[in-house]
Amino acid sequence: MSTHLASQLKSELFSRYSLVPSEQWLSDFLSGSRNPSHPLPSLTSTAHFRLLSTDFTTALSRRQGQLFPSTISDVHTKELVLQTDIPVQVLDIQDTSTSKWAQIEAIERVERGEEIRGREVIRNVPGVNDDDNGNGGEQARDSSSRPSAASSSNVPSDSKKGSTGPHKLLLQDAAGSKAWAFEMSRVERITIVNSNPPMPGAAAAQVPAEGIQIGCKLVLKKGTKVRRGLIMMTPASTTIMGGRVEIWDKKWRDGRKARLKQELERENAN
Amino acid sequence: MQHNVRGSQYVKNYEFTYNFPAWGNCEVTMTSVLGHLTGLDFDQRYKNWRSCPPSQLFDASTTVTIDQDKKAIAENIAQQARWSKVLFIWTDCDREGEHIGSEVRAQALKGNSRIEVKRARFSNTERNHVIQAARSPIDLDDRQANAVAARIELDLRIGAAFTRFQTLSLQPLSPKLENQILSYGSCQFPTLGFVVDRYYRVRNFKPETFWLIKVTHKRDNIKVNFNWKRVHLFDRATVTILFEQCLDSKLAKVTQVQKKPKSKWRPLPLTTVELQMQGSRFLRMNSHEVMAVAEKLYQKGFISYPRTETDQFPRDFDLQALIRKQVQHQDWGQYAQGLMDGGFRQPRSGRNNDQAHPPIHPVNFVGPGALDASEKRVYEFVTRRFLGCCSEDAKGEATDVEIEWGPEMFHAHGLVVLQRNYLDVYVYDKWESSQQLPQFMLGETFEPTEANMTDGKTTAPSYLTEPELIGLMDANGIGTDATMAEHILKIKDRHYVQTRPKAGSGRNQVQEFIPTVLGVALIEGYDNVGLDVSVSKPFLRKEMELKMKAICEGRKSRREVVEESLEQYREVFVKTQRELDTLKRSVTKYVVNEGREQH
Repeated sequence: MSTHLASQLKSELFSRYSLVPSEQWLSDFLSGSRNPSHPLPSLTSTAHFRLLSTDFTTALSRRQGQLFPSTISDVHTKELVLQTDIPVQVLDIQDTSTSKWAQIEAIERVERGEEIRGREVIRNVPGVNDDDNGNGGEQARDSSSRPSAASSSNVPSDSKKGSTGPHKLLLQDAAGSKAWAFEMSRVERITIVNSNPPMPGAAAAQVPAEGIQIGCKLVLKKGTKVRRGLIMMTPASTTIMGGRVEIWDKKWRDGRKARLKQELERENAN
Repeated sequence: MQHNVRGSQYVKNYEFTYNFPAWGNCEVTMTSVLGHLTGLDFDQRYKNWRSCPPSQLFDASTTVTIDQDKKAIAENIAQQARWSKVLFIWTDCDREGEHIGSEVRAQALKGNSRIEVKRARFSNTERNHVIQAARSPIDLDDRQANAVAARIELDLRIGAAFTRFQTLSLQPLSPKLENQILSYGSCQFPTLGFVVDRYYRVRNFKPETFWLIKVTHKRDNIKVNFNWKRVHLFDRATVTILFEQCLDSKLAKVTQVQKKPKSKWRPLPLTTVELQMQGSRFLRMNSHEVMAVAEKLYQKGFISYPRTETDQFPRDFDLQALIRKQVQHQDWGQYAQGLMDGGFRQPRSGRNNDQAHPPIHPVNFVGPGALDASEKRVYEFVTRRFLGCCSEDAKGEATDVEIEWGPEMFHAHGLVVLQRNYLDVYVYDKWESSQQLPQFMLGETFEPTEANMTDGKTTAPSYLTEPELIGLMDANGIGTDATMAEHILKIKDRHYVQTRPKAGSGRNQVQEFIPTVLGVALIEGYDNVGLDVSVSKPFLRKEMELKMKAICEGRKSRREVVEESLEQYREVFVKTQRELDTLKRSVTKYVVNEGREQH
């Protein structure tokens, strides 16, 4: 195995993707590579692609400059700015704009097969409820700021298209440290999609879920602000590389409804 | 000249002469029927509930019979046909009416196999309209008649099979069910399904706290409320952090100031579904009552045919003549005059046209003294709606100010209603001016007078009211405008649901629907049977309705539709039979043990 190739690959991965793989991963990759004499650009792409489905805590180097600063989650630090690009993976994603109850209902609708074309059940009919203070031809939703007025029959956005957030993500760096991030302004690909269960009788092939999946890889760019321990994500400060870790994602998806229910119980018990 | 019909108390034969363009000067005998002349039932040997396994009813032979109480009327028609050259049918111009027309034709042909059969097309009983119809006879639409025949057969087979099966199997489970027929209807069940579904959503609801940032600013002695663009979030820590960022950045900057004309659109022409929905909201009558009264008003010649899906008036419709008739009314006469004096505007067109009838509208003037209380309310609604349609939209001006404070955006909205227009006659819509906004300049900065972080709690949805239920049935494609009220009535009659006044609905006394334990037991039971196309969900019935439409449009034959639908329901039936224990468990849980699961 050529160390020259290894160091070239390392340098390419860093300059193009801000990724620094661990020595172990790099050597595994190059020795497993079917044709090591592939041109460098395509080798780099392949390496990048593979990295997207790894666990960053083992596949990436733990070099300084690739990790979260130690005070990143510190609530007492009013503001800190990331000094380098930091590659991270997503361990959890939450929709802060929608109540858990509404999210649970959305999951149940999919479970009941109501998101399948032709099987939709419409549950909300506009124009029938008492507080119709329409402002204009169509009934625009009047965003009242009276504290007790919010109705929970706000249906979260169409499950097929996914939630629009803003979302909170739990991110993990190559050393295993975790920190929460908030989607300050809309980042297109960040969305939770409740996928349809496979049609009865259909082939067992799983329908791939869209949106962000657990294990998804992203890069927080140099200059990203962190306020009181919460990373502020914007489209400009975040690069979503994609990918996922299938077993983590499945576990997360399977347990999501139960988790939401548990949190709801806990909140109501207080 | 009027003659009695032997054997019938209500039906009479009226004789007169008339000159038809098609047939010249004729002696006419006019008679009537009382709804369907014939009924479909199983052959005698299947009539007894225990005579055969219910599943056989999907294929069992049927016969068309004339109901005992209709025999005299049928005989009358056959007799009259014997002495006549032409049969001119004037039943209501909808699917059911077309089918009844075909029944009348069948009877007439018995008396005279060579009689010519024609049909009149009319949408109201106003004199000129009727005369027009008399002048242009058309043919009976056999497709529509077939669609109804298909429906009748499907309702009979599916209804009977499931009703017998579930009654016989489940009744013995509890003395509470003694003498109670557990009826099944392919439309009833999804309707009940909506009620149960909402019931559970309300019961399972748990409130959640959310947080938001409120900004107010005082200027020119006006307190302006700015609403957060994010509305509210369910994460307290995040909102706290965002709020801190706002506070850090002392000054807010005005990023947008817009003054725009705003209008509130006049209503669309009136359809049956709208009449039922709005009727039950505003007129303190349930949908069934509203339709019954509308029917009476139609027959008396005051409004047009009340069963229509059309929400657009044809271009050449003489709206002015209809408005002119209302000028003498004590309540809205002046408004009508205003329309005639230049306030008139062509009504908006919706997207629906059933090609059979125009939107519901007043056809003649009638003074309030000539109507009883409920007739008055319905006629008033129809007329105010019609006049509202022909009016200008309400006009106003909206001011929107957007500010940026720290990383967050807020906006304030002010509305001034400048011209009420249609709102003056269609009193069922509300549009009020909100506070005037003071002047803000684009780009200016200011320190908000007051800002805080507050919280609120989500509130539960409420139980279904009748207008909502109608809206759901319509949106999910079950029931036609003619039948929705009936299905709602049915589930009440069968004790599957109860109604009670909605808390806090005060004077209006809106009723809400609560399922009974029996209703819940049946829906949950069928849902647990795990049917991919559960009978409590709308899609099966929606598909059947679409197939009916296909027959009317000539895309499918009656036989095809009957076979396909029976196939679908037969599968469901077989699965239900296999999983009978699941149904029994559900009934036991709710009806016998009042909701407690037996372990």
